Amino acid sequence: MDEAKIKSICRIAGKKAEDLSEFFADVQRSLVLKSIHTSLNPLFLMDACESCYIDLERHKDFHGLDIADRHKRAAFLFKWLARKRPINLSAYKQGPGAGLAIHVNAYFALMAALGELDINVHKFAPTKISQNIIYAASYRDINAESWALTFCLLEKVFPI
Amino acid sequence: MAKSDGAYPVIDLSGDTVEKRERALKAIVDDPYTLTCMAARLQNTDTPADGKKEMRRRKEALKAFSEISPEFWDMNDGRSEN
Repeated sequence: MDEAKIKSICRIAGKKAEDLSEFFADVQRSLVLKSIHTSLNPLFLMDACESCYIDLERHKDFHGLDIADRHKRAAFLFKWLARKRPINLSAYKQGPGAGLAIHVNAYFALMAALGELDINVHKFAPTKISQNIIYAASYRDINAESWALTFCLLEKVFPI
Repeated sequence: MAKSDGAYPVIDLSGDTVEKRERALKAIVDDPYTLTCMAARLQNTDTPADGKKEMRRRKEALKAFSEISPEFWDMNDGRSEN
Protein backbone atom coordinates (compact mmCIF):
# COMPACT_ATOMS: atom_id res chain seq x y z
CA MET A 1 0.00 0.00 0.00
CA ASP A 2 1.52 3.34 -0.96
CA GLU A 3 2.05 6.20 1.46
CA ALA A 4 -0.67 8.41 -0.02
CA LYS A 5 -3.22 5.63 0.37
CA ILE A 6 -2.17 5.03 3.97
CA LYS A 7 -2.48 8.76 4.71
CA SER A 8 -5.95 8.81 3.19
CA ILE A 9 -6.99 5.79 5.25
CA CYS A 10 -5.57 7.33 8.43
CA ARG A 11 -7.53 10.52 7.82
CA ILE A 12 -10.78 8.58 7.38
CA ALA A 13 -9.98 6.44 10.42
CA GLY A 14 -9.32 9.60 12.42
CA LYS A 15 -12.74 10.98 11.49
CA LYS A 16 -14.39 7.71 12.46
CA ALA A 17 -12.54 7.66 15.79
CA GLU A 18 -13.63 11.25 16.42
CA ASP A 19 -17.28 10.36 15.69
CA LEU A 20 -17.16 7.27 17.88
CA SER A 21 -15.51 9.21 20.67
CA GLU A 22 -18.36 11.72 20.54
CA PHE A 23 -20.90 8.89 20.50
CA PHE A 24 -19.19 7.25 23.48
CA ALA A 25 -20.21 10.24 25.62
CA ASP A 26 -23.86 9.23 25.03
CA VAL A 27 -23.09 5.58 25.74
CA GLN A 28 -21.27 6.54 28.91
CA ARG A 29 -24.23 8.57 30.17
CA SER A 30 -26.68 5.75 29.48
CA LEU A 31 -24.41 3.28 31.27
CA VAL A 32 -24.14 5.51 34.36
CA LEU A 33 -27.93 5.24 34.67
CA LYS A 34 -27.38 1.50 35.01
CA SER A 35 -24.62 2.08 37.61
CA ILE A 36 -21.91 1.10 35.14
CA HIS A 37 -18.98 3.53 35.06
CA THR A 38 -16.65 3.50 32.07
CA SER A 39 -13.97 5.47 30.33
CA LEU A 40 -12.69 5.46 26.77
CA ASN A 41 -9.09 4.76 25.82
CA PRO A 42 -8.58 7.03 22.78
CA LEU A 43 -5.39 5.28 21.74
CA PHE A 44 -7.13 1.92 21.49
CA LEU A 45 -10.08 3.52 19.70
CA MET A 46 -7.82 5.12 17.10
CA ASP A 47 -5.89 1.88 16.71
CA ALA A 48 -9.14 -0.03 16.18
CA CYS A 49 -10.33 2.44 13.53
CA GLU A 50 -7.01 2.42 11.67
CA SER A 51 -6.85 -1.37 11.79
CA CYS A 52 -10.43 -1.54 10.53
CA TYR A 53 -9.81 0.56 7.43
CA ILE A 54 -6.41 -0.97 6.62
CA ASP A 55 -7.92 -4.45 7.01
CA LEU A 56 -10.86 -3.45 4.83
CA GLU A 57 -8.50 -2.11 2.16
CA ARG A 58 -6.56 -5.39 2.21
CA HIS A 59 -9.80 -7.31 1.84
CA LYS A 60 -10.83 -5.12 -1.12
CA ASP A 61 -7.45 -5.62 -2.81
CA PHE A 62 -7.52 -9.38 -2.33
CA HIS A 63 -11.05 -9.76 -3.71
CA GLY A 64 -10.63 -7.12 -6.41
CA LEU A 65 -13.45 -5.01 -4.97
CA ASP A 66 -13.88 -1.35 -5.84
CA ILE A 67 -16.51 -0.69 -3.23
CA ALA A 68 -16.69 -1.87 0.36
CA ASP A 69 -20.42 -1.95 0.98
CA ARG A 70 -21.98 -0.96 4.27
CA HIS A 71 -22.19 -4.56 5.51
CA LYS A 72 -18.44 -4.95 5.15
CA ARG A 73 -17.74 -1.60 6.77
CA ALA A 74 -20.00 -2.53 9.67
CA ALA A 75 -18.40 -5.96 9.99
CA PHE A 76 -14.80 -4.76 9.96
CA LEU A 77 -15.59 -2.00 12.46
CA PHE A 78 -17.38 -4.52 14.67
CA LYS A 79 -14.43 -6.90 14.48
CA TRP A 80 -11.78 -4.36 15.42
CA LEU A 81 -13.72 -2.61 18.17
CA ALA A 82 -14.61 -5.93 19.76
CA ARG A 83 -11.00 -7.03 19.49
CA LYS A 84 -9.24 -3.84 20.66
CA ARG A 85 -11.74 -3.21 23.50
CA PRO A 86 -11.31 0.57 23.82
CA ILE A 87 -13.69 0.91 26.79
CA ASN A 88 -12.41 0.50 30.32
CA LEU A 89 -14.77 -0.56 33.06
CA SER A 90 -14.07 1.39 36.24
CA ALA A 91 -17.01 0.44 38.49
CA TYR A 92 -20.35 -1.31 38.44
CA LYS A 93 -23.02 -2.37 40.88
CA GLN A 94 -24.00 -6.00 41.30
CA GLY A 95 -27.62 -6.75 40.50
CA PRO A 96 -29.97 -7.11 37.56
CA GLY A 97 -28.35 -5.86 34.38
CA ALA A 98 -24.80 -6.06 35.70
CA GLY A 99 -24.08 -8.51 32.86
CA LEU A 100 -23.89 -5.52 30.53
CA ALA A 101 -20.71 -4.42 32.33
CA ILE A 102 -18.98 -7.60 31.14
CA HIS A 103 -20.11 -7.08 27.57
CA VAL A 104 -19.65 -3.33 27.39
CA ASN A 105 -17.05 -3.45 24.59
CA ALA A 106 -19.13 -5.82 22.49
CA TYR A 107 -22.13 -3.57 23.14
CA PHE A 108 -20.22 -0.50 21.92
CA ALA A 109 -18.91 -2.42 18.89
CA LEU A 110 -22.45 -3.41 17.95
CA MET A 111 -23.72 0.17 18.32
CA ALA A 112 -20.89 1.35 16.05
CA ALA A 113 -21.71 -1.32 13.48
CA LEU A 114 -25.41 -0.49 13.58
CA GLY A 115 -24.48 3.06 12.60
CA GLU A 116 -23.49 1.70 9.19
CA LEU A 117 -26.60 -0.40 8.67
CA ASP A 118 -30.25 0.09 7.78
CA ILE A 119 -31.83 -2.02 10.50
CA ASN A 120 -34.98 -1.49 12.52
CA VAL A 121 -33.12 -1.36 15.81
CA HIS A 122 -36.25 -1.19 17.94
CA LYS A 123 -37.35 -4.59 16.64
CA PHE A 124 -33.82 -6.01 16.60
CA ALA A 125 -32.59 -4.89 20.04
CA PRO A 126 -34.81 -6.95 22.38
CA THR A 127 -34.31 -10.26 20.52
CA LYS A 128 -32.24 -13.32 21.28
CA ILE A 129 -30.36 -12.59 18.03
CA SER A 130 -28.87 -9.35 19.32
CA GLN A 131 -28.04 -11.08 22.58
CA ASN A 132 -26.22 -13.86 20.72
CA ILE A 133 -24.30 -11.35 18.59
CA ILE A 134 -23.06 -9.48 21.67
CA TYR A 135 -22.18 -12.76 23.34
CA ALA A 136 -20.26 -13.95 20.26
CA ALA A 137 -18.34 -10.66 20.04
CA SER A 138 -17.25 -11.11 23.65
CA TYR A 139 -16.28 -14.76 23.58
CA ARG A 140 -15.81 -16.01 20.01
CA ASP A 141 -13.31 -15.40 17.25
CA ILE A 142 -14.66 -12.71 14.98
CA ASN A 143 -14.43 -13.26 11.26
CA ALA A 144 -15.33 -9.99 9.57
CA GLU A 145 -16.30 -11.60 6.26
CA SER A 146 -18.82 -13.84 8.05
CA TRP A 147 -20.19 -10.93 10.05
CA ALA A 148 -20.70 -8.98 6.83
CA LEU A 149 -23.06 -11.74 5.71
CA THR A 150 -24.77 -11.75 9.11
CA PHE A 151 -25.32 -7.99 8.96
CA CYS A 152 -26.65 -8.26 5.42
CA LEU A 153 -29.18 -10.86 6.59
CA LEU A 154 -30.09 -8.80 9.65
CA GLU A 155 -31.14 -5.97 7.35
CA LYS A 156 -33.47 -8.37 5.58
CA VAL A 157 -34.89 -9.77 8.82
CA PHE A 158 -35.38 -6.35 10.48
CA PRO A 159 -36.12 -3.96 7.60
CA ILE A 160 -36.84 -0.30 8.30
CA MET B 1 -17.70 23.29 -9.23
CA ALA B 2 -19.83 21.41 -6.77
CA LYS B 3 -23.49 20.46 -6.90
CA SER B 4 -25.11 18.32 -4.22
CA ASP B 5 -26.47 14.91 -5.23
CA GLY B 6 -27.87 14.37 -1.75
CA ALA B 7 -24.80 12.56 -0.51
CA TYR B 8 -21.66 14.17 -1.90
CA PRO B 9 -20.97 17.33 -3.81
CA VAL B 10 -20.34 16.44 -7.44
CA ILE B 11 -16.83 17.48 -8.34
CA ASP B 12 -16.43 18.50 -11.94
CA LEU B 13 -12.85 18.60 -13.18
CA SER B 14 -13.75 18.29 -16.83
CA GLY B 15 -13.21 21.94 -17.72
CA ASP B 16 -12.19 22.37 -21.33
CA THR B 17 -9.37 24.78 -20.51
CA VAL B 18 -6.48 24.65 -18.07
CA GLU B 19 -7.86 27.75 -16.34
CA LYS B 20 -11.25 26.13 -15.71
CA ARG B 21 -9.62 23.00 -14.32
CA GLU B 22 -7.33 25.07 -12.11
CA ARG B 23 -10.28 27.06 -10.77
CA ALA B 24 -12.14 23.84 -9.97
CA LEU B 25 -9.11 22.39 -8.18
CA LYS B 26 -8.60 25.58 -6.18
CA ALA B 27 -12.25 25.53 -5.12
CA ILE B 28 -11.77 21.97 -3.88
CA VAL B 29 -8.68 22.61 -1.79
CA ASP B 30 -10.33 25.70 -0.29
CA ASP B 31 -13.27 23.65 0.96
CA PRO B 32 -12.50 21.14 3.75
CA TYR B 33 -15.86 19.39 3.38
CA THR B 34 -15.27 18.75 -0.30
CA LEU B 35 -11.82 17.43 0.53
CA THR B 36 -13.32 15.06 3.08
CA CYS B 37 -15.85 13.93 0.51
CA MET B 38 -13.07 13.28 -1.98
CA ALA B 39 -11.30 11.17 0.64
CA ALA B 40 -14.51 9.21 1.09
CA ARG B 41 -14.79 8.74 -2.66
CA LEU B 42 -11.22 7.43 -2.78
CA GLN B 43 -12.20 5.04 -0.03
CA ASN B 44 -15.28 4.07 -2.05
CA THR B 45 -17.64 4.57 0.81
CA ASP B 46 -21.26 5.12 -0.09
CA THR B 47 -22.32 7.37 2.76
CA PRO B 48 -21.52 11.01 3.48
CA ALA B 49 -18.17 11.55 5.10
CA ASP B 50 -19.55 13.91 7.72
CA GLY B 51 -20.90 10.90 9.63
CA LYS B 52 -24.26 12.50 10.52
CA LYS B 53 -26.32 9.60 9.19
CA GLU B 54 -24.20 7.07 11.05
CA MET B 55 -24.42 9.09 14.25
CA ARG B 56 -28.20 9.30 13.99
CA ARG B 57 -28.43 5.53 13.49
CA ARG B 58 -26.07 4.84 16.41
CA LYS B 59 -28.09 7.10 18.73
CA GLU B 60 -31.28 5.32 17.68
CA ALA B 61 -29.62 1.97 18.40
CA LEU B 62 -28.44 3.19 21.80
CA LYS B 63 -31.98 4.32 22.60
CA ALA B 64 -33.40 0.95 21.55
CA PHE B 65 -30.89 -1.03 23.59
CA SER B 66 -31.25 1.27 26.61
CA GLU B 67 -34.94 0.37 26.83
CA ILE B 68 -34.27 -3.36 27.16
CA SER B 69 -35.03 -4.94 30.54
CA PRO B 70 -31.99 -5.48 32.82
CA GLU B 71 -32.44 -9.27 32.78
CA PHE B 72 -31.52 -9.27 29.08
CA TRP B 73 -27.89 -8.70 30.00
CA ASP B 74 -27.54 -11.65 32.32
CA MET B 75 -26.72 -13.89 29.42
CA ASN B 76 -24.45 -16.49 30.96
CA ASP B 77 -27.18 -19.04 30.24
CA GLY B 78 -26.47 -18.32 26.58
CA ARG B 79 -23.29 -20.37 26.76
CA SER B 80 -25.18 -23.57 26.10
CA GLU B 81 -26.87 -22.05 23.05
CA ASN B 82 -23.83 -20.54 21.36
